[in-house]
Parts: sequence; C-alpha cells; structure tokens
Amino acid sequence: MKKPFNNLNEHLLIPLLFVSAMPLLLGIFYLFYEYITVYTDSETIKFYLFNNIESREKYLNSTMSAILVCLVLLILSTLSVKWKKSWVLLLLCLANFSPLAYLLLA
Amino acid sequence: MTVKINENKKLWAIHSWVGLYAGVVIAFLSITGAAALFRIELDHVFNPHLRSVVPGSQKIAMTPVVEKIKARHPDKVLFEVELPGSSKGSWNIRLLPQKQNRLFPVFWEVFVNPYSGEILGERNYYKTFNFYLRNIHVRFYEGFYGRQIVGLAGIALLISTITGFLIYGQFMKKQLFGTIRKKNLRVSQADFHKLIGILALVFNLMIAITGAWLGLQGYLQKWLNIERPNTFKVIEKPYSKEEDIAQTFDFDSIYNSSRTHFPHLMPTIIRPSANGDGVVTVLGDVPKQVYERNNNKIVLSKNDYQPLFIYNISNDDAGGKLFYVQESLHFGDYGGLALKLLYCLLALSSGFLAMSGFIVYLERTRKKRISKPNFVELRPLLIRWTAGIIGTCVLIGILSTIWGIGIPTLIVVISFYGFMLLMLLKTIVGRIRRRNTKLKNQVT
Repeated sequence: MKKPFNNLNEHLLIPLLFVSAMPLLLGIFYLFYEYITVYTDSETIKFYLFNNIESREKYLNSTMSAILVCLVLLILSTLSVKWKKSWVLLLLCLANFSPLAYLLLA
Repeated sequence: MTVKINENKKLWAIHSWVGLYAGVVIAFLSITGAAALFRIELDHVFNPHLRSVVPGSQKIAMTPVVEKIKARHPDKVLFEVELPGSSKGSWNIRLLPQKQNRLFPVFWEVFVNPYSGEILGERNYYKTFNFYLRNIHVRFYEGFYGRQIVGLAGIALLISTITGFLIYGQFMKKQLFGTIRKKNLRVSQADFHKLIGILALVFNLMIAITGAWLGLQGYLQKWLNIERPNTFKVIEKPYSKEEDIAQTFDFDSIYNSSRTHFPHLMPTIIRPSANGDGVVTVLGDVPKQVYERNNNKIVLSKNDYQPLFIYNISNDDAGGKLFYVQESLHFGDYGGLALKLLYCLLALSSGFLAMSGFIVYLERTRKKRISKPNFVELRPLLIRWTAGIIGTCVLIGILSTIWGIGIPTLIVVISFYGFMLLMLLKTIVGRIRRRNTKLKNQVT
C-alpha cells in the first residue's frame, strides 16, 4: 500500500534537516584541515604552542572525535530523508544544530 | 486560507521580481566569486618564479634587503613586507609611489629570495590576474559604488533565498522531496531549482548576509558608528610624516619581538607607519581561528620594539568576532583547499539557481512573448547572455592585465552609467509617446 503524503516531512522537516546539515558539512572540512595541519606537523605547528606531546595528542583526539560525531550526524541525516519518520527528522534537526549552538554559547 | 494564498502570491511575486532583475548580477557574482576563491593559489601557480624558492639552511637578515629595495625605488615609499606562509615562499616587499597617478595607479611588489637576497622579480599588483579576480567580484571594476552595488546584490540574494524557502511548500504540492520530473524543460528546471535551492539554502543565506555586509560595510560602519575592532590610534604623533618614513628600524628585531609578546601570532605582514605614529604593525593569523586573515595584530614602537597594542580576535567580545568572521565565511578561508573546492561548487549553485529561475520564467511566459516582434528563442537567448558575461569578464581581464585598474574602470563606469542613462531616456521617451498617443486618441 502506498504511504500517505506527509506535508510536514516533505515541506518542512526535510528542508530544515538540510539547513541544519550544511554547517556540519562545513565544520567537517574545517576540523579535518585542523587535524591534518597538526597531524603532519606542518610548519605552522609551532604557533599552536602545545606544551608537550600529550597536549598535541589531546587536540588531535578531540578534533577526530568532533569529525566523527559530525560525520555520523550527516550520514544519519541522509538516511533519515529515506526513512521519512517525522520524529527522526525532528530529532536529527535538533542534533545537527547542537554543535552550532555549543559553538555560539561557548 | 484566502489570506495565506494571497501572502504566498505576494512572496512568489517578490521572488520572481528579485530573481528576474538581480538574477544576472547574482549569476555574474556566483561565477566570479567561485574563481576569486582561488586567486592566491592561482597567483602561486601562474608565478612560481616569484612565489617559490628552494629552502636554504638559514634566512638572511631582512633589513639590508628592504633598504636595498628602497634605494632602488627612490620615487616610492615602503608600505609593507608580506612574509611567506611556508619555508618555500618568498618575501614580498610592497611599495607605494609618493605621487599616485589616478589613471595608472601603482602598487609595486618586489619578490625576494629570503635565503639569498636575490630579487626574483617585480610587478605592479594592479596589473595582476590575482587583483583582477578580486576586483571583478568585489567591485565589478566600477570605481564609485561598485562595492555597494555588490552589497545590494547580496540583499537581493537574501530576499530571494528567504522568499524561495517560504514558498517552497506551495510549489512542491504533493511532490516528494528530490523528485525531478522530466515532463518538459520548464518542469525539470523548476524541480532542479527547488532541489538545489534547498540543498544550498544555508550556504546562500551565509553568502548573502556576509556579502551584503562586506559590500555595504563602509556605509554601515559610518551610519552605525562601528569602528574596526583592531584599531590602534596614537593621540599625539611624535614625528612628522617625513621623519616617520625616514626612520629606520630592524625588521628581524620587530619580528622577534612580535613572537615574544604574541607567541600565538603567525606573522604575515610587517607594516611600518608613514603618518608620524612612529610604530610598526605586525599583522597575522592565530591557529584554530575561523576569522578574517591578517587581522590579529601587535603594534610595536619603532624605537625600542616594545609592544604598544596587542589584538587577538579570540579575546574580543561577540561583536568583534562577528565583525571578523564575515570575510572568512564569505571566502571559505578557514579550511584549506578542500573547503575552497566545496565553496566553489556551492558558489556555482547560486548561479545555477539564477539561470534555472530565468529559464522557468522564459518558458512560462513563452506564449505571451512569442507574438512580440523582438521574440528570441530560449537557446540563443541563453547563449547571448552567457557570451555577454564571459566576454565582459575576458575583455576587462585583458585590459586590466595590460593597463592596470584605471582604464578598465573608466570603460566600465562610462558603459554602466551610459547604459543606465540610455535606459532612463528610453523609458521617459516611451512614456511621453504613450501619453501623446493617448491624448490624440481622446481628441479623435
């Protein structure tokens, strides 16, 4: 049986999901650039002023964790467009905005 | 219900009107913006003999090199020294003429190998492809209000994006997200227009807001009384302009002092004052920041190299951060080349939206237009517009690299205002003629 057309999903939640996913996508590129810069010990590393190897490792780990979280959210967002469950779409919209909210509030 | 339909009709009318009148400008800015993203990288690719050096064991002292360059150009004043981002880059010593020619202005650049002191080459920045890419996007080569016109186009894109989002549902009806119908050109282009519009919505909003701010910044700062957050002022100038320019100092000591007092700063520019302040400003970037390049700074005294002012954007309040996030968000200058490639793709989406919207409009009004004597088919019309945009860019590019900024600006100003004047006269004459015909008809 064909699913009934859901206005809320198609006209609002899916567009909002893409709206919320774009900052994540841009954020991944920024975090990845930061990760590569530190990981490859580029010439600019001396300006990061890491006190020791541990602080460098800590920065790398936190950057990688942030990349993975953003990536998981992006994949889930893409899949949820296929699932078309309103509560999943809404939840992911909120989840996608949370890193941005954290950045703005921090 | 009727109120909602009327509201939607109004929104759709605004969306079409803005798209129709500002669409060409948005498409032009989208293409030139996508190219301008890579202007620094392209400058390195086109000028490896100026920009790249083989790293040596130790860099030579900078001061004797700068003094040598100053002696070679007695008609010019040292403006700043740009430091390379890596060990493979050259020093770029920039000078300004003491008397600037308005038609043929000069911003002289001398590239020096920091390991040998060898002069790699010299050029007028205003004649470079790098400058052309920036100026065509930022000012259209229009000398008076180019930046503001671009800012207004940013507002047009903002209105178009918001109204587009608000009427999205009305136009999707019972259509599933992402469906592209292939009924005819109009329908398929409309579906692509809606899909790309939603996918690039945030990006277009960001570009529109930051573009409008950057374009209208000069006036907005004046009206809202906003000063650049990193401004440093010397209240009582200790020197005359001539004394300040003539005062020598050690560049390497300045560099080392900036490293000591502001260790996070990656110095990119060393700029001595020439207005009597008796200071040297070191501008640069701080790691992890997503802010405009070369705007963290430390101001040092020319006499004892002690810091007089330190500005780190990260330590500023929300207003200062907001001020400096605009340009980097607009030009994608915070995530390396990969992010710039993504920006390029997304930037072209605004051009695609303008073009697909234009196609939908032309196809929708085809029946009405076909009876008119000046009717042109879609394909030749699009070819004409595309060739016009590309032709204009190429022509200005050639003129700019031959003569610098002056001549192409003059041509653009004359053509632009001449065209506006012609259109105004045409409208006035048309109205007078219509009124006369109406009066004649009433008399008869």
